[in-house]
Amino acid sequence: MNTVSAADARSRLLGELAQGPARRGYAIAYDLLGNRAEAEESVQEALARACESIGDLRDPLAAPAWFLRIVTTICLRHLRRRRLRRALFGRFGWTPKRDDDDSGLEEEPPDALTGMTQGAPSPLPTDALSSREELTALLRNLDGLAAQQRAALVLRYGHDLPVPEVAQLLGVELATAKTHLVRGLARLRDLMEDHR
Amino acid sequence: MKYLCDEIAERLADGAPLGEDGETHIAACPACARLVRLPQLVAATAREPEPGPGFAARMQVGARAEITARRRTRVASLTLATAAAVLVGGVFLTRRHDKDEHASAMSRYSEPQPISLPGEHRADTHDRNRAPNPTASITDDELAARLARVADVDGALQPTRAWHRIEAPLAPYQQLLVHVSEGVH
Repeated sequence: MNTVSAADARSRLLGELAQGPARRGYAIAYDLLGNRAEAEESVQEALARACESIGDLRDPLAAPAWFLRIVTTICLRHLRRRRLRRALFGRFGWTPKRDDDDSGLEEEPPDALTGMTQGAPSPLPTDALSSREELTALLRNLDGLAAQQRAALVLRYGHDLPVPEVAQLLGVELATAKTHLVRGLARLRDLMEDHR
Repeated sequence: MKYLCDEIAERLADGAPLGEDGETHIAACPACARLVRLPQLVAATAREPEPGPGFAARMQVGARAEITARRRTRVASLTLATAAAVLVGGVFLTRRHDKDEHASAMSRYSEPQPISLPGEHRADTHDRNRAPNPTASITDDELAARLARVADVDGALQPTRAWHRIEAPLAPYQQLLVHVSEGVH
């Protein structure tokens, strides 16, 4: 009897998550991984994990946030593996195959002006912002960041999430999330400077 | 100056306004000027990808397949782990049993055997309560042949053997040699 009810609960949760939060999870995964196939794979894995560990969830209302945290964790794992693979390729001088060359640049960067939805601390010249080269360089340099720094920047500025929510998705303390943001910005600035 | 640079980075992280002092500092500090551009650039790289038709159904089917695969992997891992544990336990018990048998064999051979040489007269042979010693009337050659049969001679010819197993049955032979040498001297 219990098995049937657990299976029902699992099925219901799967349906609910797949309808709404999965789309948001996909958007986050896509921005973190830069690859549609990997993003879908991550969302599927997160759904499977959520259904398996439904018993860990005390408050059903927290399911969407909990699910997004699982998605973020899976994406972080993907990013770490990608960095490791790239480091290994670099160390042994191998040239990665196209499939392995997941530099987060599956598609051309979007028009900078259409993406400019976030509040800017200070007005900036739009011609510089719309430079596609600069955006391409930025996407490449985001790959040079540590997984958590990259995730913190993308969630904070790309998805306009407040710092506490970023911390929650990364599964870290608020102060740690801030540290990731500050260090990520500084590192990204240095990488962009090297690029020039 | 350094303090203001850190302050600006923290304000950027919090999304707090930079303030008048911050704006003044940015105008004078190229590093901070580059830093304040980054949030907007990162925001510009964010995409709103359309997942494609049938996304929800595709995700549900994929997740179900993933759950099945994970369950199968878990069962396989559990089976393998159990088999490995049984194997290790079996090997441990078998080896222990062998060791016990070996120990009893060792004790059988290593206990002092009454060996009578021709012409030698031992006091305990007069003991009527004891069974007559089968080696009492045999010659040295017969005794040596018997010991050679007891000893694992074929095994001793192997280049690598468990020497303690070979040497244990030879203990009486060694005793005989000691007796002989004592008799000679």
